[in-house]
Parts: sequence; structure tokens; C-alpha cells
Amino acid sequence: MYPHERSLVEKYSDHFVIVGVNSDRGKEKLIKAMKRENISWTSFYDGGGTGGPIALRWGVRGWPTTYLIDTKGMIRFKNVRGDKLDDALGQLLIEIGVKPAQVPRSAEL
Amino acid sequence: MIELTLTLLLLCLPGSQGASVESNPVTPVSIPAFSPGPVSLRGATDRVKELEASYDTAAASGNRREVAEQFRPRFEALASELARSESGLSAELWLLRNHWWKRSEGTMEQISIDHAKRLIEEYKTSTQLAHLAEFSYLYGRKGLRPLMEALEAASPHDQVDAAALHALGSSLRRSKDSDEQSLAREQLLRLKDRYGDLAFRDTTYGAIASAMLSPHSKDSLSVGQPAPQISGADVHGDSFQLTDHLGKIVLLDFWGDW
Repeated sequence: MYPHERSLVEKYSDHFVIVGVNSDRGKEKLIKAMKRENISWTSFYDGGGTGGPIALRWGVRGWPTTYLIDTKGMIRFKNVRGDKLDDALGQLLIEIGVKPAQVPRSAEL
Repeated sequence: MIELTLTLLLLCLPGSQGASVESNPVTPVSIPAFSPGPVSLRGATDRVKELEASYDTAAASGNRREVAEQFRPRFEALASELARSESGLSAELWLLRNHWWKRSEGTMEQISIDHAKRLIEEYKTSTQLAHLAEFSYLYGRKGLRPLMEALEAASPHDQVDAAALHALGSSLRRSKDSDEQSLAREQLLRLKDRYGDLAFRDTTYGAIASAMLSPHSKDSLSVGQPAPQISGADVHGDSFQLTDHLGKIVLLDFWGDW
């Protein structure tokens, strides 16, 4: 998952960011993972475990869980990954005026 | 989703972390002295830790269940040799959480309940008993409540009482029974009011209880709704908010490296 996300963040950095909510057990573990996977984006550190305050408030019980949020702060897609994430992000980029030829697309389209 | 969560349990829970006592307690808790057993306890903690470390190494590259079975007699020997000391309890807690492997045989819950009951009786003044609450998955839905109530009643320590309330409140809040739901609410309110400042992992019981008492509704997390605000801090302690990124498309990613 990380390489795909990283390439999207790099390619569309003007319009797109990833915000993580990390549930790892301990800060050291998270710092190590970020180094190893070359993760450049920021994460909320959610209390050091899967039962952290943010995950509890959002009712998250499976990982990863993702929300794709548009530029106005509206929830637009949930749990889209891989090709579907490409399409969803492409749709939101087109909405803010990015040329269709320049947005990510899944293979089937 | 359920499968993912179960996989997560399998991967994480019987692992290496159970024996570490809550980090950074806000209120320093003194560990009461036990009367030493017949053997010298010098280096006892190291011996249990060493054994845990060699189990972790072996388990990392083998079948965890088989490796746990191979190590079981060695932990049992340490638990009995070091009985009534904190190190003995550490060995007992390793044995307790490794009852997980009896799950498929259908005996996990009863064995775990009996074991935990014995530990509450024998080690009631140890703060390590807070770990009993972390292993709530071992006792089954019906077993958890009497055990946590017994734990809270037996222990003189706030840290242990808070852990018991937390385990019970988080389990009962998902109950379909409305009496159990309101009981969970009472417990979580008590957790927040009485033990809110106590540390739980890298957060506080207060933060956890508040989140469980007022979760976002399912509707408010639906497509087409404004994303609820998140205020928090990154791993270095730098604060930020989800709305800092308004104007950009945001992939909000709940993740962990496991």
C-alpha cells in the first residue's frame, strides 16, 4: 500500500495530502516504520494502540480504514484502495479543475 | 472487517508486549514488596525477561503456537520457582496470555478464567494485575464481568481499578442489552471522573473514556457529510488538526505497521 500512496502524494502534491492516524503500539515502532517505508506524510499518533481516542471516536475496528475527503472537508469516499483510489482521486481532482488527462486512472477506464 | 480484526488479534495479542507495565504512569505507583520465596530472587526479573526474549525470537521465525507450547514448561517452572514475587507474576502473565492457543479446542475461556482468578487471589497487591484487564479477549463475553469486578474489588491500586473499568466498559458498550449498555456508560463515566488523569499507554483513561462516551454517529461519518474535526499531535508531539488541510484533497488513513 505505501508505495502506491507515496507515488500519488508525490505526483499530486499541489492538491493532495495523506493524513494518517497511527495505532502502533509505541512511538519507537511508528518511527521505525516511517523510516523503513519512507513515509513522508504526517500521522496523528493515536495513544499507542488500536483502542486510541481518535479510532474510538471514529468507530474504527479494522485497519486500514480510509476516508477520502474533498477540498471543502466533505467525506466523499470510504475505503477505496488501489485502482479505485486512483479513480476517486481523479474525480476529485477534475472537480477542482485539474485537466482530465493529468489525473490518475485505473487500467479499466 | 471482522476477519481483519481477528487477524490483528492473532498477530498482535499473544506477542511480546504483554509484560511491559503501562508506560509513563502519571502517578508513580509503588510496587509492594512480596515476601521472597525460598530461593534467592536476585536476577529473577532478568530470567523471566530473558526467557520472554528467547520466546519472541523463536516465535518470530516459527509457528507461534508450536513455539509457545515448547516454551510453556519453562515458564511454568519459573512461575512456580518464583511464586509470590513480581517476576513469578510476570511468568504467570505470559502463561495466561498464551492460553490463546487453546481457543480452537474450546477450553480457552474456562482455563483463562480459572487462571486469572487464582492470580487475583495470590497477587492482589501487585499493580501488574492491570494486565489481566488487557487480556479480556481470553475470558469470553460472560466471563469478563465477574472477573473484572473481582479484580476491582481485590486490588488497592487505582491503576488496576481503572484497567478493570476500562476493559468492562469497552466490552459492555457494544452489548445489545440496554441494561448492559447503561452499565457500560456508568463505568466509563466513573473511569473518566475518578481515573481520568491516569496514563493508559501513551494517552489517558480520560481521553479514552470520553471517546467511548461520545463517538461520532454512523450518519456523521457517511459519504456526503463533513468530516469531523480531529485535533491531535504527531509522534514528535507537534499538534495539528485535520482542518489544517482544507483546500486540499485528504486521504485520511487509519493505519498501523503490523
